[in-house]
This record gives sequence, structure tokens and C-alpha cells, in this order.
Amino acid sequence: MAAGDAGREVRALLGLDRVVHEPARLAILTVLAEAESVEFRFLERVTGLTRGNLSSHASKLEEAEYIEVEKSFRGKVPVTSYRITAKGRAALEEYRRRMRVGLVGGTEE
Amino acid sequence: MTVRGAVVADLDRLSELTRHYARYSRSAAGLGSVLGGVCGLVSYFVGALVPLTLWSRLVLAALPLVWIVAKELLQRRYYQRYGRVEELEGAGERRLRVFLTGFVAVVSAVVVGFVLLRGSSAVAWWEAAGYVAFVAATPFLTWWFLRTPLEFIVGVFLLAQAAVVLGGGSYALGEQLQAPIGSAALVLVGLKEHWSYRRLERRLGEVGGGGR
Repeated sequence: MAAGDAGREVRALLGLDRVVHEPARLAILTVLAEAESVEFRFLERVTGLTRGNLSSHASKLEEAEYIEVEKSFRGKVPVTSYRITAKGRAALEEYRRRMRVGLVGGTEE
Repeated sequence: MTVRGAVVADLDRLSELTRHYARYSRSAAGLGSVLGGVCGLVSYFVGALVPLTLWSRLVLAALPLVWIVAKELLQRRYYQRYGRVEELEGAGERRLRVFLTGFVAVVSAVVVGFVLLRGSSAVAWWEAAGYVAFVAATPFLTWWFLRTPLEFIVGVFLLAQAAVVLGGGSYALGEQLQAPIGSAALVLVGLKEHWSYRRLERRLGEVGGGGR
């Protein structure tokens, strides 16, 4: 790898959003970006996270205003749904752009 | 493949899986489409070929409602049983839905206005009321429940047939040919969607191993 390429990769990595960079949160945002809203149960299944972990990561994403949480009842059963915000979508797109920059040797798609 | 390459590939798979599953909240009805196609064919051929009695008219009038309720139940209870995931609606899809609903709303308003202004002594009050009720409800049902062009073709036919049979008539064989063609196509589309869901279900089973 040329020194210039390595430098570019390092800069791309250093500029990564730490909230998004955590694998569980990245997976959550990736799922939410593909739908209007997603219920907790589906996120739990496709990410393979435990309930506690998923709630904790979702709270961090909510604090960063990357997602919105909606709590409701279906009959007597509580239902939690998540929705990605415009800020969250932008952060995810930026993160994936930076990842691709490193992957394809400094060129952007 | 590098670690980052693997991560990107995993994320792409996760995106694709979510999009695929989300389709079953709106644009894919699977067995609900099959049922809609069957209802469309039954309504078309029974309406055209079978002498209408009070009971057969009530059955034909009930078909669109039975289909819509069954379709919604299947989507919510079967296809989305791993948790509700609402599909994103593209700008083009929304424009098409607005256009189709708007078109139906204009036609409905003209028909209802015409019936109310002109009145009709040829049919019983409940027949006229049933006719007007179905025509007036069609734009609302179209907006909320008929989400693809094929569902629109079949659903509007079912609702129109329901109104017409309640009003004492029915469509003759050879009229409204888009209905049997659209219904047959809806059956095929529904079967394809259902098989596609069965494959998706296996993938969801694979990723659904214990939490971490």
C-alpha cells in the first residue's frame, strides 16, 4: 500500500462518527434506514442483540438524535418502534461513504 | 476480503433483508394477493354467468371487504410476525397512489352526485343505499388498502361489482376485461411473493439465533 493511500485511510478512519462506528449501533441504523419504522422485535432478531444491549444502544442513538422511539400498546402488549431521523440518515451515509473511501483506495463513488 | 469489506457486505445483506421483509407490510401481500385474485375471478364469473339471488348478491358485495380484511390480517399476523417493519414509500409510488385515488374519487363523486340528484324509484331504498355506500367508500378503501397497480385494478373492480350487484345489476361477460386478467396476474404475483417470503423466512431463521 502506498504511503498516500495509507494516509487517506487513516484520515478516513479518524473522521468516523464514534456513535455510528460501534457495530451494534451501525447494524441498528442500517436496518432503520431501510424502513419507515421498525419494531423492537425485528431489530432484536436481525441484529442478534439481547434486549438489554439493544435498548442500551438504541438509547445512545436516541441521545444523539439519530433515531426516534415510539412506544404504544397493541391491545395490552407494549410495542416499541424506532424510526431513523434525517440526522441519523445523514450520519449513516457519511459513515458508509468514509468506509468506501478506504475500501476502494481513495476514490469516492 | 478485508475486515471492512466484510463489514460492508454484511451491512448490505442486512439492508437487503430489511427491505425484503418490509415489502410485506405494504407492497407485497403474498397469499393475500392470491385471495384477491381468486375473489376477482369469482366475482367476475359469478356476476356474469350465475342468475343473481339475494344471497349471491350479498356474497358478491361482501367479497371486497372479506379480501381486504383477510389481506390485512395475513400481512400483520403472518408476514410481519417477526415485528412490524413499515416499508418506505418512494416519491413515484406515492404520486401514483395519489393519482389513482384522485381519479377514483372524482368518478365516485360524479356517480354519487348523479344518483342523489336524479334519485331512482326502480330499486328498493336499501339497494340504492348499498350502491351509494360502496361507491362513496371506494376512494377511501383505495387510499388505505389498494397499494399496487394490480391491487388497484382488482380491488376497484370488486368494489364496483359490489355496488352494481347491490343496485340490482351485474357486469356482463366481456365487460371489464381488465378484471379477470388483473385477477389472474394477481394470483401469480401473490404465489411468487409467498415463495419469496418462505426463502426470506429461512434467512430470518438463520440470523435469529441467540442474542449477544
